[in-house]
Amino acid sequence: MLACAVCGLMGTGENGWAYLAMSVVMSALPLMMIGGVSWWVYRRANGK
Amino acid sequence: MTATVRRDVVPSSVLGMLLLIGAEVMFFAGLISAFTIAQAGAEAGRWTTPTAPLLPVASTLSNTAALLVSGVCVFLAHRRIKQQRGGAERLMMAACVLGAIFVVLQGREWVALLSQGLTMQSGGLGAFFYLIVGAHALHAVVAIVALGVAWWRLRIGTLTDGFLFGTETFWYFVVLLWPIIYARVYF
Repeated sequence: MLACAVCGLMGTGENGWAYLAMSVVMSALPLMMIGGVSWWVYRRANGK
Repeated sequence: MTATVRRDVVPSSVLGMLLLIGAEVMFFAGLISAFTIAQAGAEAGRWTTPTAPLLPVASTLSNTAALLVSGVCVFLAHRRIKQQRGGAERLMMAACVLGAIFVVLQGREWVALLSQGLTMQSGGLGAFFYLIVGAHALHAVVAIVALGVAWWRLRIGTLTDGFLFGTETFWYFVVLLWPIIYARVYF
């Protein structure tokens, strides 16, 4: 039994690159957004 | 005793909108991620519409252009409001109309695709197409209503900075998300 519904779509295994690429995107995206907002708030707080 | 003056580094309305946009970005990233994995794992020849190998790429280009120009209109309207120059109302109305044109053209495209047999049950492409594009269209409709309210408040002189920021940020999100969806889902 697979916990993730998308894992059921794994198919032939030719989509391994897609799993890897999307894992990178889904991991990096929130970190980039939090980093971006933190940097923006820091600049505003320091009047830059 | 000295009074401490508190300064809002980020107004609550701005912070709230940033949190909303962050959640929305992850929502669409999840959908596009699932689409990409499913598409890559689909058997050869199974990821097509019933009548054509590709979704209507060329006709959707005009929708895309209307939406992008609408984003430019909001940007120019903002500049005019800040510079206290005239013409912001017309630009805001133009953005609303172009946004509505985008949604109407999308609706027309959906009717054509449904008549060709592409439904949510017809396969993976249909299911993902209507889910992703439909979710975006729903956001576009909400943003168009907000733009309409912003236009009205601008007309009667009650438009606040917070409301303008929230509305235009949400509209930019809708506008900038579309080329990503277009490039990923239609090709």
